[in-house]
Amino acid sequence: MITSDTRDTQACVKEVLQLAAAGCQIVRITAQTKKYAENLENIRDGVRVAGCRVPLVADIHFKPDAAFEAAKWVEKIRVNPGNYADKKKFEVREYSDDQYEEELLRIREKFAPLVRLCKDLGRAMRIGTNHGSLSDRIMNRYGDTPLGMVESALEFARIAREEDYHNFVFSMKASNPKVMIEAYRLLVARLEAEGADWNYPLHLGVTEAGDGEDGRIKSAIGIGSLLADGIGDTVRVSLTEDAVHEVPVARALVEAIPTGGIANGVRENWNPFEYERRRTEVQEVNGVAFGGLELPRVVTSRRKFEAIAHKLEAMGDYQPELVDDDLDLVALDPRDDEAISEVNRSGVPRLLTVANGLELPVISAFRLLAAKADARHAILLKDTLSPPNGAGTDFLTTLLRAAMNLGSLICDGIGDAVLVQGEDAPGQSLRLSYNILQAAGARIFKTDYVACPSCGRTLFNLQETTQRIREATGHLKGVRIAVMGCIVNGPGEMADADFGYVGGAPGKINLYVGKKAVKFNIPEGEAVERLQDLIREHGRWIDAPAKVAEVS
Amino acid sequence: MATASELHYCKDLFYYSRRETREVTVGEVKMGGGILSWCNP
Repeated sequence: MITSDTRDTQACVKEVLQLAAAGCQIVRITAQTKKYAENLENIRDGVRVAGCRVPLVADIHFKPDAAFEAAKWVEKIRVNPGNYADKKKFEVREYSDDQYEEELLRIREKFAPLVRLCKDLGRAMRIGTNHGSLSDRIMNRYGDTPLGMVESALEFARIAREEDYHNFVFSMKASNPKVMIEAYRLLVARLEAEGADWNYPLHLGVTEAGDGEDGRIKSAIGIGSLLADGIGDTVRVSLTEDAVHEVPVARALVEAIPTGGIANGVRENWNPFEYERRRTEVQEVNGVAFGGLELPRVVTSRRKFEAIAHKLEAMGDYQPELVDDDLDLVALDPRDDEAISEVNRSGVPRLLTVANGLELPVISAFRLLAAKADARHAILLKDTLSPPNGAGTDFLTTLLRAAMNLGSLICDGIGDAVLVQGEDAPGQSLRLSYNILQAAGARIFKTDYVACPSCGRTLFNLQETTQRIREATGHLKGVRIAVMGCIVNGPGEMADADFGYVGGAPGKINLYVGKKAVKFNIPEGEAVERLQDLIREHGRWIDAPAKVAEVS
Repeated sequence: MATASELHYCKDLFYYSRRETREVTVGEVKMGGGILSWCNP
């Protein structure tokens, strides 16, 4: 998605061409009002004159008239069921069945004409639900849940189908990978249940993933998990960076999809639609407890531990907690029923893992182990079963694969400890382990940022601002801060955030505590300091410690 | 609505198979069907 102001034709054309040259196959542009949508004609013409055929998508929120205008000029319209015909007021209200039906009729009156227009003009559509912008109607009936996200989209899909319009896709985005994974899974299950002709494609994305390593990890957990399960037809990685940086990450995720697996008659014994951690028993090694409700532990190899033993203090929060040699690990082939039965017959809980060297997809192998082994046995997850032999692997590939494999399993509730083997550098492999656990919501050891990727609606420089906020608050362990360019996804996407920094008007910032705006129209130049004050007022501030050494 | 145990989102959680979808046309680009794209829609 481009970030230029939609009224600036030249800048938009330039950005679309850059994205297309980087390998992007469809480009989205915001059209916040009819006036903005009118300029899509010029942007489209500029792109085509340059010889670029990449399809353009208009991103619509709140303004049906902008959608009607945009449909004249671009190939696809994205509508958000949460705000296409509704204004969000965070209103608590009980709807009777009749009142709910009346609401659906009202939505139909507004949405069906757009469906007919798209059908007549041969335009495609995305029914794009966002966890952060569910309507009050949906929130009141289904809550802030994956089920609410799915129902929100299905209501719009039924209207499209009543008009015999089928050129549409779905998306179910959220900033929390667990929520996003559950919503897409539930959507697919509901579509399957509706019938074979509900086989609409899915566009995958994690919203507000942030930037740098954390943004890539969050995206890989959400998008990668679903791709590994065979779900997804297009991908967008949302980073708070220049949009061209998103393309190689998306491409690498698609290329990393593990194929094959283990054909067997085993059924999973966990609920893939609702997170619940596998109920293992607590064990202890060298004074460190794992399993049960203990935090998933970070394990390293003896070789790596010895390489960093002299600088453990300087590694701050990235220290290893356990060494693999000390663990009395039981490494198994999950296809070996006899070996697993023997472990299951033993009287004491053990720490199990999948043996290295097996040519099996990591996710399938650990899922099978979790399905066959008694729940009391804890499991050590690995990012790869084939550790590199000194040969340098590209770090982005290692990071994405580790996040996809470990994150997917953690979101299934599997895993009591993690061991990153794919990265050879000791410090870097530990940092990756902790960052994956934090992005999957399994541990919180540093400040968590939910930052939107920016678009033409953004009211300040998101990259610079996010960086300034990081510098000011990066030491606040366990505090979650949302940085949002505008109010479209702002208050909603901040559902899980403790504090929010949201563009309210050009040069003006609103600050939030949870979902509630508490400070308004603060000049941008002083907003970061005021955010720090707000954190202090709420007792979440601590002074920054002396800087620890960088780990590598 | 069906209960969780009756719902299925994936043919086999232990063996990769791609969900089959219909093809949707976006300008000259096809989505779905057998195509998987890295894009920015």
